[in-house]
Amino acid sequence: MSTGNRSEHGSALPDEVLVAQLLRGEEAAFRAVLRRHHARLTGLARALTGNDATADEVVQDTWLAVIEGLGGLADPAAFKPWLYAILANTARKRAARDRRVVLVPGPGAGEDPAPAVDPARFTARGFWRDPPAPWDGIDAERIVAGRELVAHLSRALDALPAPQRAVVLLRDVEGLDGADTCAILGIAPGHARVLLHRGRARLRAALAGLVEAPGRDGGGGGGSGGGGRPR
Amino acid sequence: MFTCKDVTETAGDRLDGTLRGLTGLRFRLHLAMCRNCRRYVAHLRQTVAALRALPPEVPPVAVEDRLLAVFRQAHARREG
Repeated sequence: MSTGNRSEHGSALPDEVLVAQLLRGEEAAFRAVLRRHHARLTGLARALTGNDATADEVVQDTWLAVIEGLGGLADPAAFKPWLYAILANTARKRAARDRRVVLVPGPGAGEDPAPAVDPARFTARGFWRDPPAPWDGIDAERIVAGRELVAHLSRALDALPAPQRAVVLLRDVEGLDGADTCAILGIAPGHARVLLHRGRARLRAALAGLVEAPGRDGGGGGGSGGGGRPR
Repeated sequence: MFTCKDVTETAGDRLDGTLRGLTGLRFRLHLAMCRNCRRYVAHLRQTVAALRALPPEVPPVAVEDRLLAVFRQAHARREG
């Protein structure tokens, strides 16, 4: 059934397998789940509560609720959305108790959100004046294999405005789908789309800042010429 | 006219497969003609892939031990 499974509880095991092991009381499985999700739950809790100490408590309470509620999890394959929904609910309850308004605020009324790319990089007609430089030899594997790039990307993620960070964490880091993300955060799809879009654009710019840094302004590389017109 | 700027504002939807219809067609047409936008979209795709592949940080040992103890107790209670 499985193709060359690793015998240890590595990150290779899918959540639903780990859930079955958790239900049997296997501690190694619980450790694997903790290691896989704890830091990311903490990241989302920080985005939702805006307070590190509160976030740690929310994550702790989340794990306690997970341990208690595991037997009632209807669909083990949906462990991740279930886990993050518990976290978001715990954060909401905590915010209500502290009489704070937390979670992702709605889009500002009539406010035009910032563009993905600095408008100065386009001509008046909307074509590239200052096009992106090539990322020579850089791809996702290289990025996560390079300590410096991982640290840089993580810092950029931490620096995103909380609502953008929450959506990027769920959608891109955790790989949840749009519907689960909206349900967990209690936001509308259109709003989630804008937050994801802004967040990704900032992170791309942050990576570009590092990757393209040498000779960025020298018009170096590729002979992209002056004109930004397509073709 | 579908501009480079329009591409940067819709590239995420394209990655998520939610850019359909006429806008999707205009997007693809523009990309076919514009190397700079192909590059922008590739960079965005790589950024998302890198986020997806970010290694999770391991929790502090004390936290792990405490929660493991709770897990152990809860299981013993269920079994017993």
